[in-house]
Amino acid sequence: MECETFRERIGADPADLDSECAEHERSCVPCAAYAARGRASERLIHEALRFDVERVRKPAVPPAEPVRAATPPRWAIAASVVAVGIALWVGSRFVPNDDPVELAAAVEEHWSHEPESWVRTSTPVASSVLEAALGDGVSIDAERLNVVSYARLCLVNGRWVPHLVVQGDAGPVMVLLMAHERVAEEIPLDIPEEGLRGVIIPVDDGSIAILGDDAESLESIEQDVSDAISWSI
Amino acid sequence: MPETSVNDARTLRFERLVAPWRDDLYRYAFWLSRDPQLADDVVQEAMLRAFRSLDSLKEEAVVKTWLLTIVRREHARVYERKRLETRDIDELTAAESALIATSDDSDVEDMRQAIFRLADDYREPLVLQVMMGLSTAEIAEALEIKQGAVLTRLHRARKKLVEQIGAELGAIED
Repeated sequence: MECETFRERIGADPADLDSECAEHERSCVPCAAYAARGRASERLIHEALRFDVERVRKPAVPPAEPVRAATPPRWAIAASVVAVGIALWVGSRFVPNDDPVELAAAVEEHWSHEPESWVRTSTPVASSVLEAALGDGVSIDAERLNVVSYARLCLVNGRWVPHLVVQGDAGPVMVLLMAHERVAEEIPLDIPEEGLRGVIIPVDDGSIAILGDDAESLESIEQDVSDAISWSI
Repeated sequence: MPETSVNDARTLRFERLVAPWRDDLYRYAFWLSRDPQLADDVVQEAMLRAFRSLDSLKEEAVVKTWLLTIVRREHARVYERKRLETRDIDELTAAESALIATSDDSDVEDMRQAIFRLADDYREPLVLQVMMGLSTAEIAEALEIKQGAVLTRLHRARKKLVEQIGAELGAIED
């Protein structure tokens, strides 16, 4: 076998070399070295092609909330968003939430922002995406939950919070881990036109919002989520 | 059989046969289009078509090539609709490869960049072979070209890749 033929064959299908090729590789030192390099690059090709689908479809970078006013220049919008964000953060970080109605409305409104999250599936989100959404301040024992199918860091009521979707018995359940959103007591959530109900429950110095189908057993989800998360903030 | 039961049975069969391929189909659609959003559209449509026509799949062993054909056709359809939106290839490469920079291995990233720059005729058979595990005969059938042409394209694809990433496989040396 000619060297060129051998190299064409290994270039076309490195995994399917016949005995003639194998014999050539054994007897030709340059071609053996060529084949070794080819196999090394084959590993790279394989890894390069098999990218992390979740990270491409749903980038872990915090998404921007919809900005409805579009007339001011972009720098002004950016400056206002930053200024408002800082003001909200500084102003409300250590202040217990005293407007449960407003908080409930913000949570209910947020549900409609990410319709792509609202699917029934048995496929869990990639652990890297989940970790990115949780950030440093929250950890979760996913084993204690049913499938976590969605995870993203979202702006809700002026704070960035991890937004998860957990698969319940009756379908997807939205879970917002609001570490700095202190509530005095449980706040009911209700979107009757969508057949959804839920609750914001106080946990440590923050709260957790849970919203799912009317038929869902939210109490068990509450318990599972409370048991699964730990906050270090 | 009542319609509900038929749908339930089809859903179960879909979950068992088709759903496990979803990520690979997305990757295939992505490498065809090099556009995450377009790939998403293609896979959504393809999954819907697969569900609707699942009863026509008699031989479950060929589910992979059956799905690839659906994705390929759907990509052609979607691409046809959006083909007027042309983009600069360098801009595309930078933007999209940054998006899939999901590896900590710089060699893998270099390779990913190189695959982005491959012509469609070279990239697709490579994806079908390396990622989807198709034989050269199956690739020839899927792409409707001769097997010899597949072998040539695969060899040239690898040669171009190693040339691009600075390896020494491009030429016969000794």
